[in-house]
Amino acid sequence: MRTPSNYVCETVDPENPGGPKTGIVILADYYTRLYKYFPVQYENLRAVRWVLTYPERIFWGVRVYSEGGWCYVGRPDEWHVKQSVIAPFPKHFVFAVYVNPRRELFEYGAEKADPDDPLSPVDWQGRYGGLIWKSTS
Amino acid sequence: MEKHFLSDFVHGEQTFRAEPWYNPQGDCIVYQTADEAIIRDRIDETLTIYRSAIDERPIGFQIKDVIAIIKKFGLYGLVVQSQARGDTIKSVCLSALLLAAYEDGPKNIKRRLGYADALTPAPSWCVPMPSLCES
Repeated sequence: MRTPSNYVCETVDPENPGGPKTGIVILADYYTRLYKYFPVQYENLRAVRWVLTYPERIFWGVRVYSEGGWCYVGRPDEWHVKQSVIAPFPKHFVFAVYVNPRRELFEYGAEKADPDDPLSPVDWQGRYGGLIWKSTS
Repeated sequence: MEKHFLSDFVHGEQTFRAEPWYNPQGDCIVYQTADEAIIRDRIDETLTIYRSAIDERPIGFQIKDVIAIIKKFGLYGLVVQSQARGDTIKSVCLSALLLAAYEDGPKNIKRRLGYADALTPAPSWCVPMPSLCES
């Protein structure tokens, strides 16, 4: 057992997608809270790490009142739907990971996929500032 | 099942807690009533309903831009029961915050149903705010 410390996931830099990777921080206070009180959400931090490692889309402008922040989107193979129950990640959904301007994780979960782009959340054009990067693989 | 990448950093009992909490990293209040995977159903710029990945029933919500709402509507009615000390917000009333957010947008059926879903499980919780959140 080690003392909880912030965990850093390497991913595409939203401000320089073609450059070196950047780190997104999962704060120790955050994951400790999830571990203690929201066990399924804690387990689904695995999906967060998967999406940050293999993002399909990155959007900017995730808030109306607050500047900055990004949404990383991907599709993990599986996730925890309840404690000790793992299921394939559902079709027609994407897994969205929200990061604040300080590059700290603050929210995540499944969202319905856009019918015209199954790797983007539904209505992304009206929700975000815009698409800044998409996977070419 | 592969070992969780954070398992070396956490320990102790896990007990689901259906209580709203303020997330300072996201300036949002999160309330989850069941320990199940979340499907995020965005209602508007402020409210996202959490639906169960098992049966899509509402199991909570996220209220975004809490500080912005408080700045726009003022402390009166949101920071209730005299839990404001000086200019430091100590706690906010969840149902009043939801109603303020509802007032701040267009009237349509999607929003009405979304806010009704949020208010149904939302009792008159007062959500503690970190002392660094100043009005």
